[in-house]
Amino acid sequence: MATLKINGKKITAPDGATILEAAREHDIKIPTLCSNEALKPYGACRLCIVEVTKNGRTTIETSCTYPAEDGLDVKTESPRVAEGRKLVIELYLARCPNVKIIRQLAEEYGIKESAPQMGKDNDYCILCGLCVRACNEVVKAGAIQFAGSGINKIVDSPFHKTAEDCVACGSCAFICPTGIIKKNDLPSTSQCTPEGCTSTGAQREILNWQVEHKLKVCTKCGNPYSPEPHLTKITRQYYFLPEFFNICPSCRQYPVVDEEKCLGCGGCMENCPIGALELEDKGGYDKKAHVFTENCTACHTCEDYCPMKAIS
Amino acid sequence: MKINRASDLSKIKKQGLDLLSPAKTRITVGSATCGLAKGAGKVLEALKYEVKKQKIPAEVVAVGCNGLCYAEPIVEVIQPGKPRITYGPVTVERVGELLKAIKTGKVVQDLALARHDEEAYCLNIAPLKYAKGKVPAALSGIKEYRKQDFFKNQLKLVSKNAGTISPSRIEEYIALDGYRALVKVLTEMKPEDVIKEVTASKLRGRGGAGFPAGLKWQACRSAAGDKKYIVCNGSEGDPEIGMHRSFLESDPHAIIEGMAIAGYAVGADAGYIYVNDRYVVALERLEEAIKQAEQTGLLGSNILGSGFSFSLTVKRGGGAYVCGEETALLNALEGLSGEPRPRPPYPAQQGLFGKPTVVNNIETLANIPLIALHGGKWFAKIGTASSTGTKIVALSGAVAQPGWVEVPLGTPVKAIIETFGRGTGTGKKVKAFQTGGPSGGVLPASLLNIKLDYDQLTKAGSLLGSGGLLVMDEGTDMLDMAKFLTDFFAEETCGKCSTCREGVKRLQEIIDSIMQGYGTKEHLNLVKRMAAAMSDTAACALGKTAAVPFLSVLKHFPKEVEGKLLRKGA
Repeated sequence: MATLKINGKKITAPDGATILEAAREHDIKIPTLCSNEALKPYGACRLCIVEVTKNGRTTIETSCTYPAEDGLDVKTESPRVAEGRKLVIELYLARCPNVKIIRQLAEEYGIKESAPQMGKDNDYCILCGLCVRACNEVVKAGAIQFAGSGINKIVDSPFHKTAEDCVACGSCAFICPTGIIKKNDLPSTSQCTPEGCTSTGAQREILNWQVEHKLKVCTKCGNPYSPEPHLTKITRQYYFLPEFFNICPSCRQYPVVDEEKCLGCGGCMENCPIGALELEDKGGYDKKAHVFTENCTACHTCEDYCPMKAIS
Repeated sequence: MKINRASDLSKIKKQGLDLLSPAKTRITVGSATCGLAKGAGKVLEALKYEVKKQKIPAEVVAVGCNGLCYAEPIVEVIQPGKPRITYGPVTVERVGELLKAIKTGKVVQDLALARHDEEAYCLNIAPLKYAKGKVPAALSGIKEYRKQDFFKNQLKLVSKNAGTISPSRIEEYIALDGYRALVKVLTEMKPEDVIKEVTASKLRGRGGAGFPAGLKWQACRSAAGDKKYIVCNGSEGDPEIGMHRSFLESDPHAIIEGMAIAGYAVGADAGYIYVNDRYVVALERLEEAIKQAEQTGLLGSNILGSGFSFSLTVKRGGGAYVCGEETALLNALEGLSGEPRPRPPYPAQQGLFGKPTVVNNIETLANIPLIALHGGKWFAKIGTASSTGTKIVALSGAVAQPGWVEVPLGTPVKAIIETFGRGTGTGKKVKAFQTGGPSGGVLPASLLNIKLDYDQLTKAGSLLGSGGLLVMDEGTDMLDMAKFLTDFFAEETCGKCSTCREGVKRLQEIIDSIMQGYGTKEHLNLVKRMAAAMSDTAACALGKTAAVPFLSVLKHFPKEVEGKLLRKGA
C-alpha cells in the first residue's frame, strides 16, 4: 500500500499499481491513447504525462509506466504538463488530422488545429502499438510487428507479405482506436462451371495483413462463427478436445443442475477438466453443485460422472 | 600458461617485457581501422615479407592506434638499446627505405615524428627504458615526445597501452601492469571496498549522462537477486567518432579486466559486451582477447582460487544510435527491437532478462583497473572537483589533424583544438564546435574557452557525451549543420514515442521550409516551443535532446538563420 498525493488529494494505491491506475481508481482523469488494461504499459503516446515530485526533484513522467510510490506528489494538469500535452496533441493532429479519436481529444483540450507552421500528413495509424501488443501479449500469435525505423515506422506484416502467423482472430481490428485495421467477414460464394459448382465457404479477411481464412461453421445452427486457424490455436493452447469447437458459443448448451436430485457428492466438481463447477453451501450440511457458465465449455463431462443424473 | 596464484602473474609479466623491449628489433604497425583504411595492412605485409627476404633479425607486430590518426600508417621501430622511433605516414613505397635505415642504424628523417627514450605512461612502476646510455647522434635530431605538444599535453591513463602493445598478446598487456588490478581486487579486497574506491574516485559515466559509477554499482549490489549482469556499452552510434573502436582494437584486455572487477564488486558472474557489428577488426581482437584471458585463467570459473567466477560474451549490434541508450541496449541484447524501456525500474534494479544489471560505457570500464590499482583518492585528484579523471576526445570536422587524444577533464576546448587539432587546417577561423556527439549543442567560437567538464558543458546547453568534438570553420553554414543533425535524428529515432518521432519530422520540415525561403518568425517560435516540450515529454535522452542542435544554432547564430527567413513583401 502506498500513500501519495495527486493534485493535492491524498490517496492510497495498492502495491505495484502505476500512477495512472491509482488516478483512475479515484476518478482523476488522465488522457491516454496507448494504454489498455489487458496489456503491459508501453509509454508511447506521451499523453498521460504528469508532473512528479519525488525527494524534492520534479520531473515529467508518463503516469502509465511510473509506479505509485510512497510520498510522491503528482500533478496531472500543471502548466508544464499542459504545455507538453498540447504539443503532443498538436503533433498527432498534424499526423492524423482526420482521425475521429484525435479530433475529439483536441476538442476536449481546446485545440482547433495544429500550428500552421507544422506540415500535415493524412495518416490513419497513430502507432500506439495496441494491435502489435495485443497480438503478441494476449493472442500470443506474434503475427504483426513494427517495421521500418525512425520517422518512417509503420505497423506491418512480416516483409509486407501475408502474415503467416495471423489467425485472423480480429483482436487488432477490435483494439485499434482509429479503426484503420479492418476485418471483413465475407459470405460464402460459389463458382459454377460445366463440371459442377464449388463453394468457397464463408471467409474472413484482414486486408492490412493480407490474410484470408476460412470461417468455421457451427454444426448446429449452420452459421460461420470464427476463423479456423484461430480455433485450432486455442484448442492447442488450452488443451481443448478437438471436437469442442464444432458448435458455436451461442448454440452451446450449458449443463443445468437439478438441485432436487443433487446429493452434493462433488463427483462433477472433481472431474470437470477446467474447474467450472463448485459446491455451493446451502446451509447446514446441504451442498449443491453450481455451474459457472462464464468458464464452462459445455463439454458435458460432468453429466457422465453424476451418479444421480442430476445434471443435464 | 595458466595463472593459479598471484605470483604467476609476474612470470607472464617478464615474458611480456621481453616482447616489448626485445633482444632483436621490434617493428610495430598501427593497425587499427584508422590505419588499415590508409593502407597499414599492406605496409604490415610488405614489412613482414621484406624482413624475411632480407633476413633482418626483426619482429613485425600489428598494434593499435596511438591517436595520431592523421599520420597513419604509423610504424614504430624499437632497436635494442636505442629509443623507440615513431614514423608516419609510412606508405608501402617507403618500406624499403625504412628497412635500409634500420639495417644501417640510421633514420628516415622526413618520416620521423617522435622519439621515445622510455615508455611514457607507466604509472607508479619503474618506466620501461628503451634507450640505454647515450642516444646515438643519428637519432638525436628527432624531437623527443615529451618536448612535443601532442604528447606533452596529453594525460594518457586509459589509453596508455594503445599503440604500444599488441592487442592480441596478453603478455604485453600484463607487462604494462595489466591484470594486476584484478589480482589485487580478488586477493586483497572485499567487493564493498572496491565500490568504496570507485565512489571515492568520483568517476562519472563516460557514455553521456555522467551518472556516478559508484552509485550505479552500489544500487546494483544492494538490489535483490542472486543473478546479476555487467553490460559493456560499446554501441557507439555517433557519426564520425571512432574512439571506442580504436580503443577495442588497441587494448581489449583493459575492458575485460574492468568488467571482471565490476562483476566482482556488484556480485555478477556474467558479462555482455555489446559492440557495433561494423567494427569488424575490434570484434575479432576482442574475441581473441577473451579467449586468451580464459586460457590464462583470468576469466572463467573460480578465478585465482578466489571462488569468483566470471564469463564474458560478445554480442553484435546493428550500431543504431538509440542503442547507446542503456535500456534500448538491454532490449537489443535480449533480442527485442532497440527501443528504450520506461524507467523506473532502472537497470540496476531490473535490467537484462529482468535481473539487476550494471551498464557501463567502454571508457568507464577502462578506468576501473586504474582506480582499483591506484586507489580512488589518486583518481579524484585528476581533473576537476566534480569531473574527475581524463577523457578521450575524438577530434573531427575542420581540424588539421583529426584523431583522438586523452586529456584531463577541465582542459579548455580551445587548447584541445589548437594543440592537438592544430587549428582548422583551412586557414579559416573556428566558427563553432559541438561536443558530445549529435545530441550536444552547437556552441559558438566565443565559448571556446569553456572547459571540458560535465557541469560546465551542461550549463552552456551542450553535454560532454561520449567525447566527440566536432569543429566547424567559418565556411560552415549553420543551418546546413542543423539540417544534418536533425536528419540524423530522423533516421536514428526508434519511432516509439510520439513526441520524438513526430517532433523530429516536423523539425525537419521547418528547416526545409527555411532553406527554401518560406520560413517566418513563427517557425522559429514553434521550434523553441517544440524543443521545450520535447525535452519534457520524450521517453529517452535521444528524444529529449533531438531539438538541441537546432535550438542551439538558433540561440547562438540567430542572424544567420533569420537572414534566410521570408522577407516582408518578397
